Amino acid sequence: MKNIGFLLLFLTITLTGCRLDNFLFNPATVTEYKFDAFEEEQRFVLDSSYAISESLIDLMTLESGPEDDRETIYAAYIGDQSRISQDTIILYCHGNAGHLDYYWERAKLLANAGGKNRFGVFFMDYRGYGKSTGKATEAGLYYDVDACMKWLKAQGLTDDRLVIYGFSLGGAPSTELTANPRTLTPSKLILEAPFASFEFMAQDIAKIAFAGSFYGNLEIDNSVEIQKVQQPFMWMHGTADDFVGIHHGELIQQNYQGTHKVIRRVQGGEHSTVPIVMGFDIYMKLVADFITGEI
Amino acid sequence: MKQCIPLLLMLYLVVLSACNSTRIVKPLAKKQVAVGLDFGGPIMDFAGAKIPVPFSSISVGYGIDSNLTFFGGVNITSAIFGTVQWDLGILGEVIRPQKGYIPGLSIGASTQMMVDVFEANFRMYPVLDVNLYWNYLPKHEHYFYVNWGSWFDFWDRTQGIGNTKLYYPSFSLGHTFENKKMRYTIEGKYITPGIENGGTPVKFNGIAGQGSWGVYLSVVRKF
Repeated sequence: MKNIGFLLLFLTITLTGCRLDNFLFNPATVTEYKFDAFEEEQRFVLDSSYAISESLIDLMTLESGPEDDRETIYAAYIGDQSRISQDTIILYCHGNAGHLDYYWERAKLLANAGGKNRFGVFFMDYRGYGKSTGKATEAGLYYDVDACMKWLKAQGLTDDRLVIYGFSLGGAPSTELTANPRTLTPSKLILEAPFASFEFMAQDIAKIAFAGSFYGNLEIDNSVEIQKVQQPFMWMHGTADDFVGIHHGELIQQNYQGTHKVIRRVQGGEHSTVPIVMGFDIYMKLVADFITGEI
Repeated sequence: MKQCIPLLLMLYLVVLSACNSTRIVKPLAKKQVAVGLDFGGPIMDFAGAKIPVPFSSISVGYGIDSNLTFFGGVNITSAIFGTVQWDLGILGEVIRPQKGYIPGLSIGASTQMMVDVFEANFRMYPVLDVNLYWNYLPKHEHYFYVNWGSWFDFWDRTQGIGNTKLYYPSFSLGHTFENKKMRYTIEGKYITPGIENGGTPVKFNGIAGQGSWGVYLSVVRKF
């Protein structure tokens, strides 16, 4: 019996270094970005009418984070950089899987919203994703998106022309940096298929009301942070999302306390298919109308 | 977004913590001590396969009387991830198994408790087990059993959202090979029937999108 006691003590004290935080991230690395030439399986591939002139695509690196947590991340700007000081820019924060190539078609959709290159589109690979160095972390998400804001600000972007768009995991930095601005304060927030919080997801799966701290130290809580957001807010979520159920988004939109809210529950939409099920034209018009204040 | 992500690993623990095998079905002899290892969990999709979550725990039992057994256990997997999870309970034999097909009846009352070492969040869940078991071979101790398990959850959900689901049942069918020193058990379980299992990154295998099947093994040494 003594031996068993020691074994239990050993397990409890020495093996508690494991946390499940890292499992939230599912990065894919790449040696070279291919964009239109990317051939792996994707949710959709747009036809040539959505093509973007190569002269309006700029892949770049940015230094992100404080000195003790600094990484080099990759980001891509779609649009005329010389007009950033005048244009409205969509800062797109992608989901927990893949890298820039996987989200290239989505970025092109946004670059066609309201007309070709009506809005500039900027999107990045978080640290650990694609060619970005380092390891994905919650803090890193915020550093990396803020690094993009710093670059945009240096090009002349102002708060009133920044729209931040978060898909799935990307909803976390989007909501966080809208609620608690650092370099720039986004003027509008768009969330597509966001999850409510780490703890909400844990309880959603367990069914039982376990504490989130039983499994990880992540503090992501979009459903709380959204309460600080007063900017216009648009939420889209597929009703058939079997990955992040629509009730996650419902909680977020219910907690939004601003005055301008646009909601689209997309019938039959799954986690990654909202633009497809909605229809590209309708989706692009919706985004453009929200940004321009038509809705 | 890819549907198969390691996030499910994050959540397997969450789910499995609520899905132990049945600890003790048949009381131990008076003053008998038993130490066991339990493995298994709900069946989920992983990398194209359907696997039981590899949950594990160590259990102990002590025969207070011939029809009353104290038992407890510690969850190994939870401990690895910084959550100390243990259970304590007592099992009483209400009806001894009779000759023929009349089963024995035992009732177990226990609590599952857990606390994490990071924020010291604590949870305690009452658990009630009702077991019927049959000693089906003369001169042998082997038995098979059915179990009706009940978890009760009275804790508020995150952000103070009221908990409207207080009761989580499970139903098990198992068989134990027993001799003087050992018990070897295999158990199939249907966990939380009637509760939707979709809309999350973890894909469980239940019936019509509800609940989950589970498979468990345990090995017990008696002293």
